[in-house]
Amino acid sequence: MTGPTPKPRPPKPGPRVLAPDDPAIVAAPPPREDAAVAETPTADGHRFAKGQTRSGLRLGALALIAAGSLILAGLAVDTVWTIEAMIARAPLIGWPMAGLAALLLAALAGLAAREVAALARLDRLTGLQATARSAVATPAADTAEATLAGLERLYAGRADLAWALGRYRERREDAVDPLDRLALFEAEVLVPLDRRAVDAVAKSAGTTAVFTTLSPFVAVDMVVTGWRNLRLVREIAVLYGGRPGLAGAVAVIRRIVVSIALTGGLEASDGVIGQTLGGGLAGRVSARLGQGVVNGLLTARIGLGAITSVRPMPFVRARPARLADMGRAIAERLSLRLSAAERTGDR
Amino acid sequence: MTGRPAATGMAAADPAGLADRLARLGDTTRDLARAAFEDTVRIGVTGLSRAGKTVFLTSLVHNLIHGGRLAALSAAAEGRLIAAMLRPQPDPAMPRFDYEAHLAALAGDPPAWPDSTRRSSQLRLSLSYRPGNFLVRQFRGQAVLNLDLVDYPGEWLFDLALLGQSYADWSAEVLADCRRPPRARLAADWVALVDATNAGAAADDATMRQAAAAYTAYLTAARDAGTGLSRLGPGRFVSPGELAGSPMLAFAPLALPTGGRARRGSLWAAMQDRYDLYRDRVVRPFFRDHFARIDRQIVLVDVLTALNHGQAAVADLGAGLNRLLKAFRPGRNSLLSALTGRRVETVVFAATKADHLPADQHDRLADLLRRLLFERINQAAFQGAAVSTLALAALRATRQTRARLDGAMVECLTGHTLADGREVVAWPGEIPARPQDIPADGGTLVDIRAFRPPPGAPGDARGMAHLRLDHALDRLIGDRLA
Repeated sequence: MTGPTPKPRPPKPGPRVLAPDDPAIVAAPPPREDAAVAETPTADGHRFAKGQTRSGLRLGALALIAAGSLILAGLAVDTVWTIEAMIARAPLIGWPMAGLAALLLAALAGLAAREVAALARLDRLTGLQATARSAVATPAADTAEATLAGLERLYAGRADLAWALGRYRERREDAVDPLDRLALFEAEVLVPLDRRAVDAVAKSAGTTAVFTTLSPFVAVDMVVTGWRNLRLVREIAVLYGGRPGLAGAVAVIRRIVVSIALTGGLEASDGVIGQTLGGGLAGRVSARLGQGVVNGLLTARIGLGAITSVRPMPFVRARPARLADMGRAIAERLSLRLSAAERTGDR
Repeated sequence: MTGRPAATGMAAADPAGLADRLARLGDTTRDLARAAFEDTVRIGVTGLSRAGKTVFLTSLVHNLIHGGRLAALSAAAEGRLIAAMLRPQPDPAMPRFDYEAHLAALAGDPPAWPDSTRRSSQLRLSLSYRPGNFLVRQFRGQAVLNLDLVDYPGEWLFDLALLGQSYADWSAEVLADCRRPPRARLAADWVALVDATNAGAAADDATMRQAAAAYTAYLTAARDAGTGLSRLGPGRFVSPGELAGSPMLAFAPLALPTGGRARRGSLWAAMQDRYDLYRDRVVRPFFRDHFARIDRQIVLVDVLTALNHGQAAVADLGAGLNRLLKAFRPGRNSLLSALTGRRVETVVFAATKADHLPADQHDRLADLLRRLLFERINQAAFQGAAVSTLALAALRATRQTRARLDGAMVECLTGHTLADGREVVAWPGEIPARPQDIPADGGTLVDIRAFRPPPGAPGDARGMAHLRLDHALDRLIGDRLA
């Protein structure tokens, strides 16, 4: 049980009994989080490294970037000239304009910095996920401790998790096996987060369904649904400690879409029933209602995908929410809203 | 065929066996009727004396009632376990497991391990839970699972082997064992007496009682010598319970000529009669009424104490357990089981007192147990039972500490010594991974200290502190709480 290739090691000393204040006794050293995170191979054997997923720049992207830069440069030059001309002709208007331009520049720089920081945080979360995944797949004391230390640091400043973290710290000594410790953290800290995330997904999916059913214009509800989904993903990422910016949210959505495309077949088993039943049955009643249900389910799917993709640890013992659980939430919300609408007669 | 105890083969032939079967069928029918409303699972808890049965059961009940330390029990982790409470047991004839008294002993000042019990007892704990399955939940929003916990001395299982053994076979086996170390020293007096006794002489009560007393003295000495010897039977000789002083217990093995037959009126014939009586009146009812109805079984094994005594003790423990476990009928139950007798679907082998060993060696401990019982585990798994081994501590008496000894960083244990309650930090040494690496005198390599229960043990509202009790529970009943 000690590993596939037992290394020869020095024999352990013989048994003995010490007094509690013996100088040989040492306090447990804090687990080295960063070392373990940096060196943890991911589940498929690759070492996790920043930017490895990004392929080289392609010609199309190059052209796009060049064009964008040209336009931006043109705009910048134009602005500078305009302001210069204004200062020369009417300094009273020119100088405030220059000030506004400087403000714009500063704001843009700030935004960019925030995006970069958000991406870095998301990256840290991803790194933590990789460590956690390997810790769950092959439970060893050091990777588990590194994961737990990382998780504790991630949530250290969160007021809403202080209680949960306190409970976890109180119970940590209950478990001696690495996997049990991870499961304990999951049960005490992540499961409450899961519950909140699933609530958010259900709410969002329900709202999308209602909105699609009631909205008079297809184009509008498409835009609104897209925006809602983006907001949902952000909300979930914030909940789990990712705090992504816009670019981060888009990156997460991209990951989710890819994973849905890849696992679509697998999830069909519980998804299709809900979709065809819900959509089909609702579709009989009204085409809009059917569309509403399908749209709601899509939002639910994206939300659940967001949970799996930003949760800092894979599900150990807790049961992940499934699409089937969402179907009922959507249906309840729909029937509630529709009956309300019927009563007020605004349908 | 080693798996099917010869008992059942024999039972088919004689009328007593048929009656047993009918009685069992009646039980099954009653169980089925009850199962329509409440689910019941009968869990056997056994182990040789001092394996930790009493503490295990006490902690199991305490933890299920309080429910705060059961992270590995899936129903509890998913928040589906609603409540647990003790309820009247279904067999009023059987002694009740005295949960409250054992709890009081652990909570005492100073805390003490409860006295070992030498009889069979029972307790019914009812769990109320929400089914995890969506469809099941539609029919039963809240379900009840009755755990009938049956605790019996493992020594009684040695008796089950008697069901398939004739008096002559049994005598020969016991004598052969007693002429070999490590038993030879303890059994010397009794063996001398046997050698001086003529089996063909006329039976007389005084000789028989003398022989039985000498044999019992040897068994008691072996049990109390603390040499970790197991396989001390017949079970009622060591723990007579209500049979103390009964003539049914006045027999002992004799040195018999091979292939010979008992002459009428001889000592041999009289001993043989009592042996048969013991087998039919004591062993068979136990088998029929308690043992044969067990669905799930946990076998507690105190590997650590045997380790302390060296290789011979560990080997004896292994041999004893392998022998004892032949009594089980592991396998999957089917509808036909009502006729053929129920099988034990799940067997968990647990190395107890794991808190007396640092956690980084627990895998080794479980592995050692697995190697000791390899034969039985293999066989049970082959017959379709779910078998697993783990290291657990029903009540955790130590904390982990680190120390640097001779330049090596080791995980140590902090606890209160059993002898005087002093707090010490103990490094018990590293246990060997294979049984053959255990030195003859255990103490040089490993020194497993005995610790006292932690002060205020059951005071915790979450349940008693334990190690992997929740894992054991999950393996025993996790699927029934699905």
